[in-house]
Amino acid sequence: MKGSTSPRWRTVLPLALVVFAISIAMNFTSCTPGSGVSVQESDVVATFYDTDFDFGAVKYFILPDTIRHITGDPDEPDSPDLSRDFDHQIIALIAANLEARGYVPVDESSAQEPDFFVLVGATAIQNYYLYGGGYPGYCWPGWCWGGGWYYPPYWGVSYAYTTGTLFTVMVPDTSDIVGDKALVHWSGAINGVLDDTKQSMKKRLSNSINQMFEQSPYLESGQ
Amino acid sequence: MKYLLAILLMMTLASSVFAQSKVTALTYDISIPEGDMTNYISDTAWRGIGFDGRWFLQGGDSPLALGISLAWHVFNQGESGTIVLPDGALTGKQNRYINSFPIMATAHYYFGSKDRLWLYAGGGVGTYYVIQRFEIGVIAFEENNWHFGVYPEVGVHIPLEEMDIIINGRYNVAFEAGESITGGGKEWTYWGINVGLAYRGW
Repeated sequence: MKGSTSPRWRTVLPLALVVFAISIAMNFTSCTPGSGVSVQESDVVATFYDTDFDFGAVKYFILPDTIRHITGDPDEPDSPDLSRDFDHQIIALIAANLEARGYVPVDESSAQEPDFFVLVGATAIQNYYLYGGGYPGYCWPGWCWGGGWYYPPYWGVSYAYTTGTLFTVMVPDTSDIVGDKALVHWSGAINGVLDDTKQSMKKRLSNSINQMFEQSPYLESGQ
Repeated sequence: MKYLLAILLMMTLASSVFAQSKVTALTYDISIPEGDMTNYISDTAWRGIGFDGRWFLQGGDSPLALGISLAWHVFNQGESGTIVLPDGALTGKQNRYINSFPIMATAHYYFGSKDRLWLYAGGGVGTYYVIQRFEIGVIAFEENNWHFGVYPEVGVHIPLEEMDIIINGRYNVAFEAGESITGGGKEWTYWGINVGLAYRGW
């Protein structure tokens, strides 16, 4: 209209900014919304098996009462990041699950020869996460790889946690051990964050070991 | 304050200083997985943003507009339970993600009068950069691939006083490329329903 000032900015701008703000708020907050797990949610149970092996054809097993810590140092039997407090619980639960599936434990002094061995091992890894703001490259406090830099004041995120993995493997008999390698017909692994209370760890171990066998329905003795 | 808002508007709409007969649009995008994509993620993606710039031929007299389209669509889905593998199984809390970034050249044909409901049909051809991420417990797997892709599109402008409301529907197809987390190439297809504002640069 002649002589009038177009209200362009007043009518258009708020609407545009609303659309922009909604989109930005929903997108730029994260590429992975909902990511992150609690300690209790960190547990992963994985099982693998030899699809050609007849698990029903075996019955007697030996299960050592010791959990082997994999430390990388043959002279160091105990990992500083792993506790022995749960060893008895772990061994007992694995034995109970096998017996519930018709397998029978024997010991080395028994006249009955075992059909397979069950070996249990554990390892732990310390994980460090450090992130600093800066461009380009990746920044540590004070300096950046690739000649980068960061806006002052320095900002960043850092945290550390320890994860542990419990391995259980079934090795049918000594004929499957060649040199330092053994043919494994079934293996189960439990991985999770170790930074937890003793009570919670007990419960998580129990649930995870039971899950290991629950997702292995082929483990059943037919003898 | 009004000068700051003016600069923000220009950044938001990315107005061209060259062509006079153009449409610039900013949309909020909703994406719905389809086909094989639903085997990985079936949940609707409520996070999405799109930008379109279209320039009409013949100085604005032609109903045909060429342009570009950029977008970012975030798919995420939480799962629990057991994944059965050919020789085993995996149990844990899962987070599944797809970040899709379409970068497309576009062509659209407009029908009818621009003063009323202004319909158009067309599409885009270009590339989708897809980040596929799978988290289980504290373990994560990620694969990033560039996919050749296309989308057909239909839409409408609803004129307001100074701008239009734009609503469109797209069928996004990112053809198979690279390696997915589960091995082998993967094609990603999803529907897009996009709503936003379009500014006509006449």
